[in-house]
Amino acid sequence: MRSADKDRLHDGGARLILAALALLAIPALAGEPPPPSHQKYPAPIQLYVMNCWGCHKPGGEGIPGTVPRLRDTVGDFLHVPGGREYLIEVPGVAGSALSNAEVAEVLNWMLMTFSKNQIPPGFQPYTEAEVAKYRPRELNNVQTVRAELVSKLAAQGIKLPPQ
Amino acid sequence: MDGLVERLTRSVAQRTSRRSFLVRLGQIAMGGAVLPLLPIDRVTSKAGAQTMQEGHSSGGASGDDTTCDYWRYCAFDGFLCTCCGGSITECPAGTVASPTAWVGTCKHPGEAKEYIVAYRDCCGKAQCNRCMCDNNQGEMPIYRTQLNNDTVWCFGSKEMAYHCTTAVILGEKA
Ligand code: HEC
Repeated sequence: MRSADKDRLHDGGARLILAALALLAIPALAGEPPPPSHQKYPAPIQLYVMNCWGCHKPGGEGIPGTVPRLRDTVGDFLHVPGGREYLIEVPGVAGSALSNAEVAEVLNWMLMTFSKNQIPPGFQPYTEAEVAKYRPRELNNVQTVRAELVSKLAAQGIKLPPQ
Repeated sequence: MDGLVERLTRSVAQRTSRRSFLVRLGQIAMGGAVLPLLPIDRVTSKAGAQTMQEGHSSGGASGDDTTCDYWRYCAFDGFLCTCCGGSITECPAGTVASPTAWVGTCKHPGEAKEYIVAYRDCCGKAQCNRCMCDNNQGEMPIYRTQLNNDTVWCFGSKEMAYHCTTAVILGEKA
């Protein structure tokens, strides 16, 4: 990562990084007692808990065969053309109840928290304007678009875990 | 991916943005019944079941978690696990909690605070048929899309049969 990029990521991402540290505050779905009822979450975690957690699970682990894993993989999409937009256009994101600014916030948080090691050098955080631009293209053929991205990734030697 | 699961999943995920609209449309079209757009309508025999018992309403914000208007159920749709041998946080014996949940917020009547509540289905036994509650207050525009509560949230579990639903507080809304 070039250092200018690193700095940019750092400034914009200071809150993200703090939030990432607070990952443990994300409630588990099963097998553990519920969190204390007065538990409050930092903003991006609350966005994730209220809008994504129910399917993608607390650690972004997904549900094998049903909901794709985000952890250690979602950042891979940023390596191929179309991948960055794809993360905005998937129905769970584009069709969420979130504002464009919140979508940008939760995507940046998701990438930093679950998939920091896959993020390509020079990554620029998502912005509200970018979300506004691509969000109307919500996909109704996710599997086709995803398959294309996966094969482009494979051509670069990046193999995604089985869905 | 297993074919059935894939189909269900994709229909769930791909319907997210249109679902509330479609459900509402369905409600208008069918006079209150939920349009069977869903892979499996979670309360399959909503219109037909004679044996199904509607949950009570105490006419106000009740403190009784076996009634539909208990505050935590503000966006509940299904059978209360508290009437089905489970508790508000635990599935009855013989059922398993779905790996997925849907999340809403409910205002605590006394505290004037909003709490984040996860509704989670217990799956693996035929539907419980006791304390049926359908509180759609939570399906407000801000919670539209994937928070629609007519979806079969058992979709990720091995056993598809829907039995009842729990309501676990995840925290206080900041
Ligand atoms: C109703 C369950 C559900 C919810 C809620 C949900 N997703 Fe998803 N998500 C899915 C499914 C299923 C897929 C697979 C693609 C498809 O079929 O839509 C997916 C795909 C994705 C992908 C692409 C990953 C890949 O490997 O292709 C991303 C990124 C993503 N979701 C992020 C989010 C974020 C962020 C939120 C919250 C704003 C969210 N999702 C909410 C079910 C959900």
